[in-house]
Amino acid sequence: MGMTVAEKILSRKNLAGTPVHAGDLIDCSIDGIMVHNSYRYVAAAYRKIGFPDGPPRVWDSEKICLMLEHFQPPASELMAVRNKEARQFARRVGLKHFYDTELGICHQMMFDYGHVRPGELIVGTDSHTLVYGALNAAGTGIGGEEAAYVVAFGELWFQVPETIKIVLKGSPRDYPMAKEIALTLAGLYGDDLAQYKAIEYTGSPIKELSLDSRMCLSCHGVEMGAKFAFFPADDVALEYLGDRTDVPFQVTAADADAEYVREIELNLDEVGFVVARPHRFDNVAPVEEVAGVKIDQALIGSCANGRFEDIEIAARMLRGNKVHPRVRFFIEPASWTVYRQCLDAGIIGPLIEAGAQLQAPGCWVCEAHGSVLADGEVCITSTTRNYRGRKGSRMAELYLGGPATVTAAAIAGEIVHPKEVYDGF
Amino acid sequence: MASRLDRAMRGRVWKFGDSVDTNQLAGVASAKSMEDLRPHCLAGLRPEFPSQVKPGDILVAGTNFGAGSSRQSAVEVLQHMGIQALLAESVARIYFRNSMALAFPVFVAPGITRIVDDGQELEVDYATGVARNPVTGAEVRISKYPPSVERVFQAGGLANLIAQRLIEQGVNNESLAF
Repeated sequence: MGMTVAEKILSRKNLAGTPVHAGDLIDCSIDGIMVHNSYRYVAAAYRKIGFPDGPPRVWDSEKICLMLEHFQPPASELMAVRNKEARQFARRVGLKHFYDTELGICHQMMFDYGHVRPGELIVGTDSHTLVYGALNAAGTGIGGEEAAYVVAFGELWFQVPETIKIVLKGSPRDYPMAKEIALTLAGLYGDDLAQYKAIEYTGSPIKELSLDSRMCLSCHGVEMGAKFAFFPADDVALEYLGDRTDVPFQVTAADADAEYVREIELNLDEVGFVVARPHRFDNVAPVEEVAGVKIDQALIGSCANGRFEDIEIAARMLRGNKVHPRVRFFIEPASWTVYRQCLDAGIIGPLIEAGAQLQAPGCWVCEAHGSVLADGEVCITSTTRNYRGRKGSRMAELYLGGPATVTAAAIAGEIVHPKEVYDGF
Repeated sequence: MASRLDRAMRGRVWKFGDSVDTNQLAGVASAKSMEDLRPHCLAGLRPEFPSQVKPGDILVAGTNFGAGSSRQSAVEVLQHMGIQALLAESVARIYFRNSMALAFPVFVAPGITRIVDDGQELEVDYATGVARNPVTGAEVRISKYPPSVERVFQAGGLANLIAQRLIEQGVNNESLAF
C-alpha cells in the first residue's frame, strides 16, 4: 500500500522504527519545536512538579526555537515579567535559537531564518504551526503542557492522520488569492472539513503559487481542523530554502497509490472575492452579498496574510487612491525580512502617503491586545480569525477577506468588490 | 484539577452549539489568572454562564468544540470552574490534546446533542463507554482514550509523567525527593 506525505514523515519519525499508516498511535522523535510567549505554560507545568525556575534540562539546546515576539515590545508589566522569565530560561540552558528582542511573527521568522525544512516533524505552541507545511514539513500546534514534555525529551505521541487531497485546477490570478481559496474551501465544506486529518495540496496551479500564498493556505489548515497541510517541495520551495539552511533534509512526496480519505477539486477560475462574515471562518459569502457594510478598521497582517505579496497588492491598489478618512487601516508586515522586501520594492513610502498606518512587524493586528475594537465597531481583516471578541469587544464585528478585499474596503470606507476601486481586476 | 476516569459521573448540563472557539473560552489577553478569565468564559454565548455554573456541571456541545488557538487556559478555565466533563459531537484537535495532557475528561459522543437538553441531568460512565439521559433513558457511546492517555489520567496529568521520567533519568528536585 502506498503512503501519503504524513505517513512517510511519521514512519521516519516513529520511535519504534516501523512503517505506519493512518490510524496508528505512535511515539515520534521531534525535529524541532517553536515556543513563543506560551513558554509561560511550559514554566507553569514545571512549577507544578517542583521546578520553580522552569525546565531543569532540555533535550537539545539547538532544536528549541524560543521567540518572545508575541509580547515584544511588551504592552503591559505582565508581558514584561513573562518575557523575563523566558529569557532567564533561555540563558540558563543555553538555547542556540533564542529570538528575544526581534519583532515579527514567530512562524515567519522560522521561515526567514531557515528553521523549517522539508520532511521534518516540527511542533509549536501555536495553532498556526501548520504553516510549515508550505515547505513540505509536518508542522502542527500543541499546548504548553505537551511542549513541556517535548522540551525535556524531544518526543511526542501522534495518531497518524488520514489525508484529504485537495486538487487545485485552473490558473492563479495576478493578485494574491490564497485567502480566497481557503475561505472558499471552508465555505463549501465547513470549518471542520479536515478535522484531525492531513491536507495535501496538489494540482497544476501550484507551481505558479508563490511561497507567500502557500504559507497562507497551510496556515489556514487549522481553520479547517487539520493536523498538517502539505505542499510539495518543488522548485519554488527549494529556491526559497536556498542557502537558508545547511542541515540535510528529505523532500517527501506521496506515493502514486497512496490512499486518501477524500479528494476535493477546486477550480481557481471559479474562485472569486469572498469574505467570512462574523463570527466564523466558514460563514462565507461572495463579497457582493455584503457590499455596503460600513467599516471602522481594516487590517493586513498575521501569519496568514502579512507577507510581501499581501502588502504589495495594497500598495498597487492605493496608487492614486487614499484611505477613507473614517477608516483606520493598519498594515503589519510579518517580519523585518518582509518589511525589508517592502522597503526594497519602494512601497512603504507610497503606502504612508496614501494614509495606511504601517506598524512594526508582529502578531498584534491579529490579537486581542492590539488594534482593539469597541462595541459596535466593524473591521475587515486579512488576519487568521474572525471569532467573537477576537479583537476586543464581543459586540464588534469582524469580517475576513483577502488583502485586495481589505484594501478596497479601506479605500471605500465600506465593503465593496475590489474592482470598484481598482481597475486591475 | 486533574480528574479520574474510574468513577461514573452525573451532573447538570450546559448546552452549547457548534464551533465554540477558544476566544469564547479564554479570550482575555490581560488575564493573570483563572479568576480573571472566569467572568468572561463563554459569556459571549451565554451571559449567565460564568455566574451560574456550579462545580460538577457538565458541558455538552456540537461539532468542533475548542476550535482556534493552542492556549491551554481554554481547558484550565473549565477545570477551574469545576466542570466535570465535556461531551461534544466533535472536538478540535489541539483542544482535545490539551484536555488529555491536563487530565480533563473530554469525550466525543456523536448524537449527544440530541439526547439531552440544557439544564437536564446527564450520566457519563467511562468504564462502560456510555452517556445516558436518566430521565428519558436515551444513551450514546462516548470515545475511549488509548491506554497511553489513560496513564496520563492515572498520573493526574502529563506534568506528573514528566516528573516521573526526569526522576528515571536522575534529574531530581528537593520537593520531589520527599
